[in-house]
Amino acid sequence: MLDILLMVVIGGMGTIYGAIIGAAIFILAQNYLQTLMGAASKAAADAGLPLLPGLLHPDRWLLWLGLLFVASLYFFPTGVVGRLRNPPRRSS
Amino acid sequence: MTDLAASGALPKPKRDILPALLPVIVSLAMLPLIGSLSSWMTLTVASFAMGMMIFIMASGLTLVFGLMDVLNFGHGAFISVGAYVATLVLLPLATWVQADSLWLNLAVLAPAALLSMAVSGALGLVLERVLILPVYGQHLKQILMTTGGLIIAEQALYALWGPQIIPLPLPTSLRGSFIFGDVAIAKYRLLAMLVGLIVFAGIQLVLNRTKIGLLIRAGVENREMVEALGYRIRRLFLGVFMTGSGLAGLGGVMWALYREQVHASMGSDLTVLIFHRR
Repeated sequence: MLDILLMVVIGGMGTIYGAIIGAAIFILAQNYLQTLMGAASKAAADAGLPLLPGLLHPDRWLLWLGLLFVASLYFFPTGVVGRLRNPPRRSS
Repeated sequence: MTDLAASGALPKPKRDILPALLPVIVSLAMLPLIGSLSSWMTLTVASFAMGMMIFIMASGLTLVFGLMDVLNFGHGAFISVGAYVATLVLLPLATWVQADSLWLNLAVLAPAALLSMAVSGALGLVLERVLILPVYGQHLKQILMTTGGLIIAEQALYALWGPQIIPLPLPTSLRGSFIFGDVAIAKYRLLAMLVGLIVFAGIQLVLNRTKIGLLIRAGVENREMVEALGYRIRRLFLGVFMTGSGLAGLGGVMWALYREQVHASMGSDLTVLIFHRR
């Protein structure tokens, strides 16, 4: 349920292709963010940094997606599609 | 003298008798179905105590939604955070928790509860400022923002404490139950009931009998008017939000001790339950 909500909000609410874009971003994040984070987590662990390996662990990808979600609400209140539709004046 | 006459003319505040009587009526209606008086008594008291624990969590949501019109779906995050913070106190002091003395047990429980209230209240401050302030008055955005906050908080808890379930044993003197004849009442449920009643009375007193409560209620009715009278309504509502999240933290501690385990998803599991209660 939550996954679908994230897809729609990131893509843009009330638009059909917004859902497609959101789903694409979500699935890409699900598949590639984890690999990327795994590499980053290993690098952080090798560097001996505290806390960071845990935060970057591949299982914590939802944390970063949540941050992405909140950031997208901040900067694209109408979603990616809504932003692309009328880019210049809608920014507040 | 005129003051007295004026206050005498004010309409009496409405007392809702029927909603308060409803649980009593329902539980009495269950009596013939259960059959035995003693088991009915045991079950009624147990469910009342459980309801009180959920009330402690829901009361925060009531304050925030009813008074500020903010739909906070991230309320569950405060519950989990409260429970995890309590483990910070309760696990290192496990010898005190296991000690067979009520006072020693309470001496470790009280700071744990206070600390988790403080931490979840502070988290409430941050969450209100960062997530809810930009979306005041927009319900859909509030739901989305706070859901995002819930996800982030839950995942951050996983990252900090790890995904395993943390066992949190009940203090020794709060285990078992009091037996009155055939009626058994668990000690911990009695404590939960007591705390719930204290919270209830506290909220009622503050809202109805103090100047801050008066200002909060006035701000709900007419925000601009209270601001025009020179009160900083933003700060007042921020305080309400922090109190609400602090109460959620307290409820989280109570719930974690009742379940004797702490898990990061407990908050989101309880969210639906709380929205019912509200």
